[in-house]
Amino acid sequence: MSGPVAIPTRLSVAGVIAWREAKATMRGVGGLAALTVALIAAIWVVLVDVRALRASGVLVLADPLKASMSTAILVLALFVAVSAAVSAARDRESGTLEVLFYGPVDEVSYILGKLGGLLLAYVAGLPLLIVSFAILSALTGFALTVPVVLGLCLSVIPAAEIIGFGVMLSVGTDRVRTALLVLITTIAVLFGISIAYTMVLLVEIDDPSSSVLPLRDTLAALDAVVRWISPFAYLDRVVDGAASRAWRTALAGLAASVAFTAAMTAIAAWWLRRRGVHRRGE
Amino acid sequence: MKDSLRRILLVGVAFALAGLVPAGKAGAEGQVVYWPLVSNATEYRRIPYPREAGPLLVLADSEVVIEARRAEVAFWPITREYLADFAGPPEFIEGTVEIVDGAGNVIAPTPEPYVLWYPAGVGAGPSDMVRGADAVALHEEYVNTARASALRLLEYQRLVTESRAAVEAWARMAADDPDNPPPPPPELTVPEPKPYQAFATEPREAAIVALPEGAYTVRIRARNSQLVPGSERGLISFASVDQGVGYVLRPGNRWTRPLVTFDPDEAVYTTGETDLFFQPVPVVEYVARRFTRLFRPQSVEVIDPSLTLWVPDESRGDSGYNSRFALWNGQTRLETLERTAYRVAQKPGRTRGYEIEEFTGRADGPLEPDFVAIRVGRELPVTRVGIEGASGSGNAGSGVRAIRRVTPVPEYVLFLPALLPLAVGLAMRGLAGRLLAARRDRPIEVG
Repeated sequence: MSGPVAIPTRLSVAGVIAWREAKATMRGVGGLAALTVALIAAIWVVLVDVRALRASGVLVLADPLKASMSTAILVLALFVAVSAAVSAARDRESGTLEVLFYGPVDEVSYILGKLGGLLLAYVAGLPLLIVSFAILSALTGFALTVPVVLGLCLSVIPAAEIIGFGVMLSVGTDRVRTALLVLITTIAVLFGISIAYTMVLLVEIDDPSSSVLPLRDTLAALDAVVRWISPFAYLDRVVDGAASRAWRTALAGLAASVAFTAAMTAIAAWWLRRRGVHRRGE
Repeated sequence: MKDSLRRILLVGVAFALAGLVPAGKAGAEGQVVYWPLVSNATEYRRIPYPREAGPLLVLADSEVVIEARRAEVAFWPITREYLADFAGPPEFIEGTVEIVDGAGNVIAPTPEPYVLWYPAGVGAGPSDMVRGADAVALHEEYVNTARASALRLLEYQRLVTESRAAVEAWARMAADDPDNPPPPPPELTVPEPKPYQAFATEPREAAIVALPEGAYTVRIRARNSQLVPGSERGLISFASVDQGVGYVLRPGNRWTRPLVTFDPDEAVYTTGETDLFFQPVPVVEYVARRFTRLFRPQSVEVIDPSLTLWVPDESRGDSGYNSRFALWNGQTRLETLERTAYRVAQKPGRTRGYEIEEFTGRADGPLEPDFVAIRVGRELPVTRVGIEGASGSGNAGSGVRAIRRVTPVPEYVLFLPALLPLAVGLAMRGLAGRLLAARRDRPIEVG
């Protein structure tokens, strides 16, 4: 296998892997389908305000496309997370990973290449998303404000964190199926805790000995943890912070995302080195 | 992999168990509980501050009554708050309240009488604090005026009863002798006195302070010059970030269901089916996390520290927005309007409904306007409104709001942008295919 690689070589190798990865993602139907699904979800969200305006005749809104933009970004982020998990696991399953490592590829360049490629694909989707939202803005009459567009542009950094998260979860798996299962379970747990906490807050409690109370408090503690560790929470913090003009929060979220991305890349590279490029049992 | 999953599960269980541990003691505990009377620029409220509630929060330069009581405090798991038991006779902490600023300067306000004054009645408008000799005088005047008003009302009720009795007696006599009825009693012409709605609390003596923005320490020094144990707490006085003009917006076709727009970043979207009535309101911007905790210091709600909140500021009264209201279309000024009093008149007949018309009654007459606002007709192509000559600066100060007229389109049309990525993908594939074919068909040059 490959030994230590010089930094310029490592970067150029990562660039080659990234370009291949980006081309593969952009050529596939998956990216376009994800964009379409993201837009359908976003339009569905904006319909709430469209219907309210039609019913009442007057509506007061600061950023009517904020919630729908956040929804679209979330769908795209989920897509890149899945792509990242699938991509790394597929390389191992098909033996590509082993072949790559006979060349001047090491763990860091491989992980950086995967991260860069998927990030490039994500960035390539953003102009389409902005144009689609501009058309939606023209059709609904709802203003597409600068902070909302800025939130979309800044989402690139937490998207990198999400890709890193997906790659990190998949480097330890042998099969695509396992990688997907691990990712989906993790995402379900992260979102499930927040959703469960929101739901349990809706339960009316009038007895201090109610069994809902320990559940609520446990979920509150878990939710607080999720807010700190979930890459999707940082995505929300950055996008929503920028769109709400809460610049300090958005910047803090960006800084945390950069740090988490670096940490996840390092963990993924370390894990890959420890785990090796072969499948288990080979 | 299995080891990793096991570790993740263990961490999860640890967090879950941490959540099960109660946040505080279940039993009640006696402690010094500050009980300040604080204002949010609209109303005053007593807010209990057990030790666990953290530093006292007050609005900068607003008059605040600082008092403390000894009470049992217990954790209430339902709201996740520490509640002080104030049942029974209040046990106020005797001593001198001291406020220490960041530089170590100590302010020890002398207790003075104060009353809370509700000019429009309790719960019907802003309240104000009156202190010192004025407080006692105001209370005396309030008692006298309220008593006189009650007497007038009693007198009026006596006259009404007498008048009714006279009418009934006349009706009986007229029934006995219908051919030759006696002359009817004179009609009651005395107008009904207006009920007196104002209210003033009993004068009480306490330490009152109005602190500039900053962090302080509050404590109580007992008569023996020692600090009362457990009385030292933090106090944060926070000021507004900005101020401006907001609006209460009444659509002509739903005047009882107004919308509010306090944030200058908001825009008004309208389908143009109805007139809009803009009621200017002075507003002020605060850091949301501080302001929402002003009346609920133990709220578990997590609020983004950099978010701000625009709220109405009753303390500024009418000043700053009682100016001319300009309507714009792009850069062209269409019209300037002034605030007008309106009254809602119910339409007679089977169609019912109502009409909003200008109020033409006398100011001292029995009728009152339903609201005072600026009418923006549906026919006007207005894209922006704002107040000319307002005291504030920028969009917030001049109450500028974008008005966006929207023509609703069928819902299926809104889904068209979702097809754009697929269309672009197909187009690019087609283009790539053509380029590939062109390259394939190109003759190979030899030599």
